Amino acid sequence: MKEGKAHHEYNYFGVERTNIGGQTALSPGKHEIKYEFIIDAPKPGSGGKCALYVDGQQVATGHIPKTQPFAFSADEGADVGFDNETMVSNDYKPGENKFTGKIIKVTIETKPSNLSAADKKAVEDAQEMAAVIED
Amino acid sequence: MQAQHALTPDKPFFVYFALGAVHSPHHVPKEYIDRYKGRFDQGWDALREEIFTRQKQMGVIPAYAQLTKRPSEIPSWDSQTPEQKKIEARQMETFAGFAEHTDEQIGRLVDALREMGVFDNTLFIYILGDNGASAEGGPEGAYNELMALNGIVSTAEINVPHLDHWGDPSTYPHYAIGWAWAGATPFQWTKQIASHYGGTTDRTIIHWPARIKGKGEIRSQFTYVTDIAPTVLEAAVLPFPESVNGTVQRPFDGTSMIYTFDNPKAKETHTTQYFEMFGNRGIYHDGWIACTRHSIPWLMTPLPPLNKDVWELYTTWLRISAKLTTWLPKILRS
Repeated sequence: MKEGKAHHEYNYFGVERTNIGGQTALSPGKHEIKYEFIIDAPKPGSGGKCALYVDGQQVATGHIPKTQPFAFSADEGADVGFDNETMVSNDYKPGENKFTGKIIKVTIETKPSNLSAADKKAVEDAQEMAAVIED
Repeated sequence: MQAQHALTPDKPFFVYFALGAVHSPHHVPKEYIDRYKGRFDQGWDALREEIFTRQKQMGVIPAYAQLTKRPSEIPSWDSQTPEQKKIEARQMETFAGFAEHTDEQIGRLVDALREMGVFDNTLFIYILGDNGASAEGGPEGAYNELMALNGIVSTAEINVPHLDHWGDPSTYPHYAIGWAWAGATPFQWTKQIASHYGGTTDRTIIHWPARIKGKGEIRSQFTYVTDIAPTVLEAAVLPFPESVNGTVQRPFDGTSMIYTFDNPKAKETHTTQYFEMFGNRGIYHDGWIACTRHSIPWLMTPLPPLNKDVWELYTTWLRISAKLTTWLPKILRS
């Protein structure tokens, strides 16, 4: 949440950032915030369309030119409600970014990737490499 | 340590102090990087020669040792542009600062042991490195090494904007392959190339004044990381645990190193060791090393089938390390 508005940032290796955000601050109370990413092509690293919805209404949309093809990190986990270790966004600081509201439920929905067999193998190889490198 | 020792002063304590250093990312406060300003402007080719010379002076390697040439897959320092050199020098300054900062923290551990009055009777095993120096930063190093993990090679264009804050939390840096090759001196290759010592060896210091009579001595018996647990148990006069919580234990793969403490020329007890990573494989046996490099970490070229790899054979006890061609293939096959 940025100044009370739903906000999304995609950080591409710290080299490129895509930001989209709603225009109106959320009223106090219960809300449903949805983030959607629709990849352009079934290929690792492909860019895609991103959109934010609040209570079913689209509030922001944008396009991410390219995505990290295989991994965000070999040792950092995914956080909900705060951002630990390395930051996604420079908008907030480490240790000072905890969500002040209440998160009731998070649902992650994925669709089949439709990657080619070669790309699937590339993903597996990269995962194995990440596991080895962090030794 | 102090609490443990205060509660049970008659019992030994064991500490395994595992640091991230000097594995990437190379993060360290700027003042440590500044201490090395300009120290690596000569580049990795010269640095490898310098390290080799120092190692001879220290007696860590024999005076007659000859340095291997830089493999063609690693660029020369001279081939780097001034812009590349500037950022690459900073990468190595950062790495050195990182190592020094780490060493200072080890120093705090030593100071605490001294204050407790137990330092002289502490078996202190100090190993610092990353499985041999890591060539996972790419040919020009990386401001964010995750890019390398994602198959993207970082170049000066990506790295140079981060020159001034290299090593701070806004970077996730790693150094250029050439530095890893220099850091692996006197050995060939780098981390991941487990066939060669550059991919498997880190320096080790063992300090225990109450037990080791010599000072600043070198030991050359083959040892491996699996020797540490047996060493610790022998030092603590503890038997090998045959069963732990009901599970019967398989024997140690290594042997205790304590036999070398009083006897520099003792016959080595760890006589066989196998190494492998990504098809790079080798075996040490009774002073011989047979190895074959199958792949190179930073080159995504199609790999030959494993049975087509070319094997190298070395001895550690004859004054020749060139590949012998006549009667050695028989030894190799055996």
